[in-house]
Amino acid sequence: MTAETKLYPQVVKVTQDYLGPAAERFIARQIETHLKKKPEELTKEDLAKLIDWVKIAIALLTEDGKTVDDFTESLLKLAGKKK
Amino acid sequence: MIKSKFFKIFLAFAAVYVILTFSIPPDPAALERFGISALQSRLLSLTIVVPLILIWWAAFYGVVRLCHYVDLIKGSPDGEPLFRIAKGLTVLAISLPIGSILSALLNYIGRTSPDLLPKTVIVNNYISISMVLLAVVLISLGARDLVNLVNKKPRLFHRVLPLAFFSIVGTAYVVISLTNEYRVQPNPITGRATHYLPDLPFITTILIPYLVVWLLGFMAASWINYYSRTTKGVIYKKFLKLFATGLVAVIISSIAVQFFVRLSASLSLGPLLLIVYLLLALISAGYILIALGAKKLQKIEEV
Repeated sequence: MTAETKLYPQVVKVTQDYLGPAAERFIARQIETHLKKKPEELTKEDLAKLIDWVKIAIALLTEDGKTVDDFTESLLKLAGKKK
Repeated sequence: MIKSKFFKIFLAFAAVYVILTFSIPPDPAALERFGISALQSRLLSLTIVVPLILIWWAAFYGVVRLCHYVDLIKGSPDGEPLFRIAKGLTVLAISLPIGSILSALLNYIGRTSPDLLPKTVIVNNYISISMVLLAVVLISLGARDLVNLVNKKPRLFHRVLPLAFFSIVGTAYVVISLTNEYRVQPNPITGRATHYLPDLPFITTILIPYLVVWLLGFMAASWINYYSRTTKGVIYKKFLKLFATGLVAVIISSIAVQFFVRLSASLSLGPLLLIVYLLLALISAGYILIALGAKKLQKIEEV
């Protein structure tokens, strides 16, 4: 498995801390709907755009700004590791 | 589609119950005993019919919202267990109006054909236990599968606590049931026995199944509580908590209603009715919480 193909599972793993069993469904839906690609095809170049959409979606689920910021920060670290 | 189907079923049950309640002539003996007229009896019936129908509506609403959510996540690891729980809650919700309708019919048949009374009581008991047993088996299987999703085995406390509750409730039920002098012979005041079955068939076909229902019910409540506290996801857990609280309330209140109704021969009517109605209100509150939790969980699948 290349670093690129590992990216999607890593994003799901980070999301599980916030959405539990719904994490994979949530991330797959964001990728398919907004990036118009299969989840496994997620690349580091897509991460910034994905994080923007995820931030909007999570803000609709919680009013806790800290949770939204922590989640975004965790995903940004993932993007930072890949740079 | 789901909403429309359940709404039609709810309306059908409500219509049947209202027609039965207001078309069956009031019991002349009861009118004389309480010193009320037939009109006053009808008005009193309204105070029973309206809250009951509201309770059924709450239960059906909870089931509809849960089925909507479960439909979105079928095929997922948590989808199948929640689908089983939804099926069990559906059976429980349907058992509420069926129980009331059968009771109304039973009372009328008992009054007009006393020789048929034992048979109708036995049939009513078997229908009640069958529905409740099916519901609780489905809910407990779903709850167990949810716990298996969490990579931590429940601690000893979570396994012992439901057994402790079950021991208290089960022991009380067994002792009171088997010492009830009106279990086969009719109570001179009500004119009705509790179950009309000799002890051996009663123990094997009613008592033991109810004990199984209550054991599985307490286990399921414990598992659901454990799952809601140990599953991952800070946002998911917050939404799940509403659903889990509602589900535990429905299970425990249902067990309590069954317990008190089974022991109705040992309690006076006034307190018994008050306890049963309070518990039914708690069941409907539980279903409303299930609906609210399912609505929030559904939002995760839609954003």
